[in-house]
Amino acid sequence: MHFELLTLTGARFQGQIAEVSLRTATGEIGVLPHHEPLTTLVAAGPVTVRPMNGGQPELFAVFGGLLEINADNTARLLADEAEHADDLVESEIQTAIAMARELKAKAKDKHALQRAEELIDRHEVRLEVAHLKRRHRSR
Amino acid sequence: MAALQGIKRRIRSVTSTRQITKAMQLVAASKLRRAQEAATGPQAYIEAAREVLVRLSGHAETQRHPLYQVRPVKQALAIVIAGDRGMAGAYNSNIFKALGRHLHEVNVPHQAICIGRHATLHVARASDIDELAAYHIDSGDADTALAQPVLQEALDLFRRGEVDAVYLVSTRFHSTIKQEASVRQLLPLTGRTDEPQTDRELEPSAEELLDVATTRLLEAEVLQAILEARASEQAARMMAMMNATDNAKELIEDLTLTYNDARQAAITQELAEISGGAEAISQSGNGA
Repeated sequence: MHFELLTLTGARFQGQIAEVSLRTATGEIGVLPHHEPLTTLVAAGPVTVRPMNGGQPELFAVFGGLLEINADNTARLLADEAEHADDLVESEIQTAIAMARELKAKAKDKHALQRAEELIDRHEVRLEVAHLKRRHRSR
Repeated sequence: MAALQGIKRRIRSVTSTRQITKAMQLVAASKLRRAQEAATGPQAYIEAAREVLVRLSGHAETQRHPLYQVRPVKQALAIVIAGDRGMAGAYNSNIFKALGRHLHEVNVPHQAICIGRHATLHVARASDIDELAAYHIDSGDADTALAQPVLQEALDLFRRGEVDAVYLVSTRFHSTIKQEASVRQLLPLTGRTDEPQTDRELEPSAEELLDVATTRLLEAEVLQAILEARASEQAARMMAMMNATDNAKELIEDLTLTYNDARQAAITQELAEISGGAEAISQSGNGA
């Protein structure tokens, strides 16, 4: 099936795939070729793309988006942003989380608190994907 | 002699002006490359989001969705995107001309959200439009951070019924030499289909999906407009500075020619005086 991962800065993945798995409000779903037409909200979390030729799966972190599967065996994921797992460095994310927690502790108003919480959620997704990457490698 | 020095001074001043305009041209050219690249970013996303929306809009929920409500326009909002700085030829004034034409055509009270210092200045002076909020366009690379609050404010106003239409006034980037000031309607949304899609599963619900898809599309469109405006501004500045540099070069050539003419004339005059003087001396010597 043809899959595209589109973000506001351009396409991050385009090509034939064997499977894509991602997280929705109701749980993890895996999309195989010839899936029924479906439009669904995608929750923040990892997106794993298994290419057709059996190569290494590609791992991305997304922070919410929209998945559309069409009858012509194509699927598109619209995400504001997507980060490739290769660009995620665990130690950096750990520091970022620590900094975000500090921000949250220091937050003076509701707005700042909300921002800090968003930041923490975001970094936790990134951390999860970084962990997942390590597991893929060690396997 | 005084004339010669005057010309020389002018040559020096035009030369330094040319250095400045040349530098600005080069800076704009390098910024343009980056801006142009960035402006192609959201295009695929916008196209896909539009298609998703068209497929979703066959659903009955669309008819009730607040962002699709067409009301008689009594109050409108304009999001005006111009530059933070001048020295970009007609870039800013073209935007304001388009805005003026639009205000004249629609002819209802307008409020404005201004992006870019020049937009703020213009709207503050204009009597037929009220300023609501102002943002600076050059304040960093965080473009989504700029698009989000602008759109949020526009959506809130529209949902509360304080405005009945939202327009986007910005410059569309076609190429380095062609940019076009344009006015587009952002809200209410149009372009829904009437053929309902029944074979498609929707999760969690058509309403929620529609909500997310429309806000995402609008956000991407505002972002795209900002990115294109930025690329257009750099392109306009590059062309303006290129023309200024060319003009300065011509002026320097003309002035140099005048200077050489004057210098030669002065030398000829001096020679004539010397030879005239020598003649006079030798004649008076012969006479003695």
